[in-house]
Amino acid sequence: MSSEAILVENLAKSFCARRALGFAGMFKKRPVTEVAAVRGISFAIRPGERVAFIGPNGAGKSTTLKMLTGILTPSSGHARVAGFVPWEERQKLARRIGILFGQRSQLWYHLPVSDSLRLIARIYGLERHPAETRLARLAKTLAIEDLLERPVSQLSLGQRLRCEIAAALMHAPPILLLDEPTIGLDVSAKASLRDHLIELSAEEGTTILLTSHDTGDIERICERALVIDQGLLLLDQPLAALRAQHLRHRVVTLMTEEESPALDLPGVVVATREPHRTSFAVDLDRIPVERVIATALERFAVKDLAIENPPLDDVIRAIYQSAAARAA
Amino acid sequence: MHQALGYLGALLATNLKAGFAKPGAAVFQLVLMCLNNLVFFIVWALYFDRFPDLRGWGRADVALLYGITAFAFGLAMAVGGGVRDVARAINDGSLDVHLGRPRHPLPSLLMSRSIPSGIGDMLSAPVLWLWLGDRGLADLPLLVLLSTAAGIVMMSIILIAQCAVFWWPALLRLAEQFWEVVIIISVYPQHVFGAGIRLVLLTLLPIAFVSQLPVEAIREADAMKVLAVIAAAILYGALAVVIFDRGLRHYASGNRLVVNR
Repeated sequence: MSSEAILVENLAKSFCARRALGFAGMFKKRPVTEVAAVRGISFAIRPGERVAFIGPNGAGKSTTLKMLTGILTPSSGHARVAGFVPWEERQKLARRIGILFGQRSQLWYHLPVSDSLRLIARIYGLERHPAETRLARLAKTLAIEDLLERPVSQLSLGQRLRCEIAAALMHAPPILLLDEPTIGLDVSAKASLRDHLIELSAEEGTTILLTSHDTGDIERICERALVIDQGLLLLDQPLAALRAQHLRHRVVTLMTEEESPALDLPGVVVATREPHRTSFAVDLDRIPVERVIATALERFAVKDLAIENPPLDDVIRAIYQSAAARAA
Repeated sequence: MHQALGYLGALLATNLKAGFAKPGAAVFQLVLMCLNNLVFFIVWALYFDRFPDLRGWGRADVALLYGITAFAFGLAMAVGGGVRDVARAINDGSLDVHLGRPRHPLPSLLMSRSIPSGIGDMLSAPVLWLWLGDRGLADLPLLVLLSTAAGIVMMSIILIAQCAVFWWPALLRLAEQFWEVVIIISVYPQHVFGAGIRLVLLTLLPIAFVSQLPVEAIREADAMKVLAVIAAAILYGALAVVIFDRGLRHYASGNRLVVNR
């Protein structure tokens, strides 16, 4: 038995696509083409790790996640999740994983949230007392205590998603698989949901694998990223290493007495400029960030300064560009 | 077994509660369906006033048939109203939620919706049996038993039709509306048809077990026909589960691809 929470070896999935021939061709045999959604990916996730599965639309993220939950059967390859082969032991595995599909609901729309959560506890075979204890704990952690007696139809999207997470965690699964958990949420609801997920993971040691288009989810929640494109795994690295290797620049922002300070240093260019607030992009291959700061402090009356990592969006764009360049 | 029954009971209770979440609208639907069934029967009453015999059947026999179909369909919709959404769930991937649970997905899928008008159908059945069908209270247990078996057959036929979408996604609309075909055939006496059609209705499209055979079992006090209806419920129920399980192997979870030329 594997000690990994999730182990994936050469996992592949193809779908048959039939060409639509329209009314005229309704009695003709439609040609079938095979479309490879996932093309032999391998990775391992240790218990307690929080991992992001990143990729553009159609990259194969959701398909992989669905194979790992046993919903889809792979065309080839092997996987074990919590020690189970998902597509062979789907029902046993379901007791060990929590699943959240951001666009699908586990809750009954017209009923109070607590009714859905209690039914989900029954589905997982939880006894009444442990179920009530678990419900109370999740309600506190996810700050949904005031929502429990409200019908789902009266909740905002952010409130509903917090309740969906409670539903996914009612049976205290050691592994949580999240497919686009923050899709459609506003900035503050996203931040709140991310905080709750981190808190839960820290408290219960839950392994998290999430797919998202939102780099904020990845930066805030995860410590490692798997980058996938066209069904192939492009990268598997800690987030810090991902940044260090794929984007060699920092953003230095200066708040100064001077309205528009200028730094004529090699590898330093102005990124954005507002009165008394200027951001410089610093190329670390050409100049260390310390020298830029020292020069700025020497030349200007600096009231405040900030050194930021580049947004993950830029990192991912750089990975795709370098992958495309290699392919060309 | 005890836990499984508890689970089914909890599913049913939750979905009935959801069905009656807006009690005014639900009771309105229920009463209207009751009235609808009784008003629809006026057509038959008028027919039998003019032609008292329909190849050996009278008004009371058709009332029995109509009541059994109403109870069977009402039971299917009140308990397993989700059966009408199976094709859609297969097509749009919403089956995922049921597959992610540590149970067979069918109970939670079928019981994911309770349609209040189904209870109206069920309530109209005893009126048709006892008042217009000239039956006594002593017949009620057998009528309920046969109608329950008929409901299982009906649900199985609808489920099998919905499962076609696993293999032929283009049949979505047809599969979704197939239950209407089942209802239309069920509410008419089938002994008026020729042997060929009757054979189809006893095998490929076993609607005879939904209404015709239960009425014949009551009319003729034929224990073999009672057993045949119960056996059909078990066999077609099992067949529907097998077909659903086979279909799951083809489930593409909303990732089914169709290329436009």
